[in-house]
Amino acid sequence: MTGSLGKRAERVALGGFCLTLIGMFIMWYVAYYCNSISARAELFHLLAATLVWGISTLHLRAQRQAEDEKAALDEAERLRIEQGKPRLFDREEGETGIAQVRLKDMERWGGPIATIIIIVLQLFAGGYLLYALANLDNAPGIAALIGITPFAELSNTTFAGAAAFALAFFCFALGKYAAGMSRDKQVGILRAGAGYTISCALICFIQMIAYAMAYTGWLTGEKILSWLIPIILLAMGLEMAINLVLDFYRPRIRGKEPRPIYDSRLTGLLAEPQGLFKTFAHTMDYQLGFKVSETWFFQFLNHAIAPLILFQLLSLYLLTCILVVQPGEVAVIELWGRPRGIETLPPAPLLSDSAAERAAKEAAWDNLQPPLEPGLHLKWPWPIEITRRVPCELVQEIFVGAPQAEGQDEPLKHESATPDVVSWDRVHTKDEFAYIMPLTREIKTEVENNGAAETPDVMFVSGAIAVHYSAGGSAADSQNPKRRIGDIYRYLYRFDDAKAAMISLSEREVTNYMAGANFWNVLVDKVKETEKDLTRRIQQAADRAGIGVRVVFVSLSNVHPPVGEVGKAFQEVVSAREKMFTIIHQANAQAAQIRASWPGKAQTMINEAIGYRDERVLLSEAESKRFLNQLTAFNAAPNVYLHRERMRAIEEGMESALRLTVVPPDTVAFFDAKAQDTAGVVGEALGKEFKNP
Amino acid sequence: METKRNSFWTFLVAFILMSIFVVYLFAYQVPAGKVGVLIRLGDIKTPIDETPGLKFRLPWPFDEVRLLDMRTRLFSTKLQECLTKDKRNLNFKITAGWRIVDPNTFINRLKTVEEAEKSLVSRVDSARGRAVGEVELHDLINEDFNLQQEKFAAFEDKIKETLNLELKQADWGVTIDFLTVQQIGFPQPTTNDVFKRMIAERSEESKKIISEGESEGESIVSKAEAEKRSQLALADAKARIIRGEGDAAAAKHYTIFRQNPELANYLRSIQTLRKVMTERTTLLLTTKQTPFDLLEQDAVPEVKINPGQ
Repeated sequence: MTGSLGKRAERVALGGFCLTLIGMFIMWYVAYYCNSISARAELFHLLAATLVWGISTLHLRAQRQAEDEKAALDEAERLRIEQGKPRLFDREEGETGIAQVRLKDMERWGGPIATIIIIVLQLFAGGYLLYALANLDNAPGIAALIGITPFAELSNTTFAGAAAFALAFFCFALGKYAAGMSRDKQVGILRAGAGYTISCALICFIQMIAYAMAYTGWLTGEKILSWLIPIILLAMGLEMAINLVLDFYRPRIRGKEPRPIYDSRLTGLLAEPQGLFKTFAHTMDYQLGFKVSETWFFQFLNHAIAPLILFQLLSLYLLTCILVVQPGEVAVIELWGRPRGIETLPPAPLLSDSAAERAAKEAAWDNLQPPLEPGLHLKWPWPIEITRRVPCELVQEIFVGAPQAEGQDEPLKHESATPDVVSWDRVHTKDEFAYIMPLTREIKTEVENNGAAETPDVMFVSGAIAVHYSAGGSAADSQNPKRRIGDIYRYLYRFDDAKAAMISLSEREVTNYMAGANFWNVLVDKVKETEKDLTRRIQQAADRAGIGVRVVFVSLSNVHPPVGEVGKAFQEVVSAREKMFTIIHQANAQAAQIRASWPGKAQTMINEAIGYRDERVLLSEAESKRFLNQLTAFNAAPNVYLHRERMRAIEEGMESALRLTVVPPDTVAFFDAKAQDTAGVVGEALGKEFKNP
Repeated sequence: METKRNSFWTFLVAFILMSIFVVYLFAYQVPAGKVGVLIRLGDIKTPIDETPGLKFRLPWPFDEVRLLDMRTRLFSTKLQECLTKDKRNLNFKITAGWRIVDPNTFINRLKTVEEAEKSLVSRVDSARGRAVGEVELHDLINEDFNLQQEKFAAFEDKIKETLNLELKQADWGVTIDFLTVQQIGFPQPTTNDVFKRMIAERSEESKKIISEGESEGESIVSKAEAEKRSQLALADAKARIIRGEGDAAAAKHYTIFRQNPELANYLRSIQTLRKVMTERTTLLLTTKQTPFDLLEQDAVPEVKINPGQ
């Protein structure tokens, strides 16, 4: 290496170091002044570039000094040999000077240590930024450590864009110059910084485009870039780490200059003047030790890849000329921000306007050019013409009475909420608002009677009230097509946040309605009527404000008394009602049992009486008839008849009875064998002792 | 050849990029609903072009463009405590929709949207405080729905009118499109008291319902008991009548017995004796009694021959 080339390379490396350092400060200023997240990420990228330039400067300096030292030593040796002088000190084979030792130390220790620092920086910065962005909502504190806040509108985008462009320009110029110089193998070390600087230039240029997009209110570029830069940092860190490991296994070919270990192959693709593909092929040659770049496949790809990619990119860009409006939506095309076919939007009515003025202004909105209906349409490519879609058939849902999480279609759940059960005694929705309602008449009377009138005459209801609406309104439902056209433009251009306006107006209507409504009507008795009333009122409020929506439905299904102890008290009333019914049912069962018992008893009594009566009637008649016959018999032989009757009775009685005959003076007893105690009984009756036979 | 081709593409790409940058420096886009205010070396260029579309300017630092959103935007006050005319503490949250109507005045007087909202919030707070002092609690919360609606709207109108008058006097270049009382609440201690009363009222209702159930249950049972007693008495009465009818019918036949009452009674006694002497009756008889007198010695009776003679 000639001294002048080495010094020039050193100056270039130092220039790169200074440029990236200044770039870092500029990016830091853009990050805070313009509130740009991508600028914060790029700051780390530039820091890594600064480190690469720093180590390159030191490496070049050490290399130049080693070369100078070697040249000086060689010259002294040549002079000594010419003059035939002996050596002052014995010099052994392979012995080198101090600068050369320093260069070797630099290559052995300085390069790897610097590489490790750069790798750690890139991996840490990339990982940290990605983690912070992914947890922007959950853990904003992590992101806030480096000033990252949720994506908001950028300020001073003109300055940011100009700064990014300037940085891109200078980085590109220096990078290209350094890359050109690095073609000389003596200063090939420059390639590392050159590649890194060109990658910075590229990102700064994309940043400029993102700021231009943000200038027109489109933050997509900024958002994509905020994610892309940390990914690039991670990829470069990983690639350098892999290079560090692979370098141990690389075939060492004599005479082949080793690449600095901190020289990224990825950024090298940008720095190599021969083109990306050739650079890639040379990298492969270097790593594998044979000429991969001379294979036919590489040759083919080298010629075809650039036109193919360009064609692909152009095709993608031209696709922005085709607009497909999906079913259920309409679209308004804006040419440089102005709705197509509309010179300027009509003014919105003022509060001070009379009814006629208001009507005239609203009519002007209704008479605007109809938007594009579903189908295929052509337009100028982005950014000349952009499309604003309105999903007019889509029913959107908002909640009032409870905060709604951003991007979610349900209220924020409380930490203690059970997933499938919504109960009044447990908190299920976060920060539910308690709407004030007047005391119902009957409770008011009770309160007055109890003398507890110090507490305001109010009650509370809570709950997330769902409001369904569609932007502009469905074509099928619309009675007035012109009004629908006006509503679509109102929805797009009258409010900066139509959804927030809907939430606010709906909440007002609910607050106002509840403040005069009957508690039981809202909760139980007239829910449907209340829902209809609220739907009508919110629609009227939206019309007055000019939001341009059709309110479809308001649901009170989630309205309830305040959760917790109050809700529990309401549940206890339901339990009490159930208890009451249980008691009544039990009483009814007992009564049924009682009722079932008397008809049989009563009927038995009557039946017995009937039997008695019939018996009396029949028997008395029969007896009287029999008596007449007996009388005849008696008259025929009075004594015989009486004796015979008497004897028959004794016979009949004796047949089944225990027979006993007492014969005085001696007693002879005849006992029935079955009647064991008959003798006792008889003896007791007669005052004598008998024995059973 | 290849170098020439590469140079062409490089030049083309560079030209396109430079063109984009030049357009970016010299042009700006004003979307519908916004107004681009051109500030040339610190002075607002008037008249302000309020139409949307592509506009041109000198590059920074000569021209600076400030895009002002002319659409209605919302701001809300905090839920702030106020005292009503009847000395009740109430919390109010007011939300208003406002927009810029005069960009020139707006930039001169308020500079930014954030500044404007800060100023508007303090104005609304002040107007609300005055309006709240003129209403009573039952004007805003009342079971007479129509009256309440009327007073509530009047309350909002009062704040709105005061605010608009002040804005007109202040000349900020903004107007209020709508103003709503978004939330009304009580301070926490009052809210807790209301909760307690709601709990007590519900508890009272629970007890009342259970008592009603018990009372109704007792009534149902006692009613059934009474019904049973009366029905059985009714049946008893009916049975007695029927028995009487039987007795009456039997009595008719008793006249026959008058022909020989002694015989009738004797036969009845015999009948009773038969009935009485059912199974396992113990009979105490002496040999004096017929037919056991046959067992006595010399008990051969004197039997008349030809008793009929």
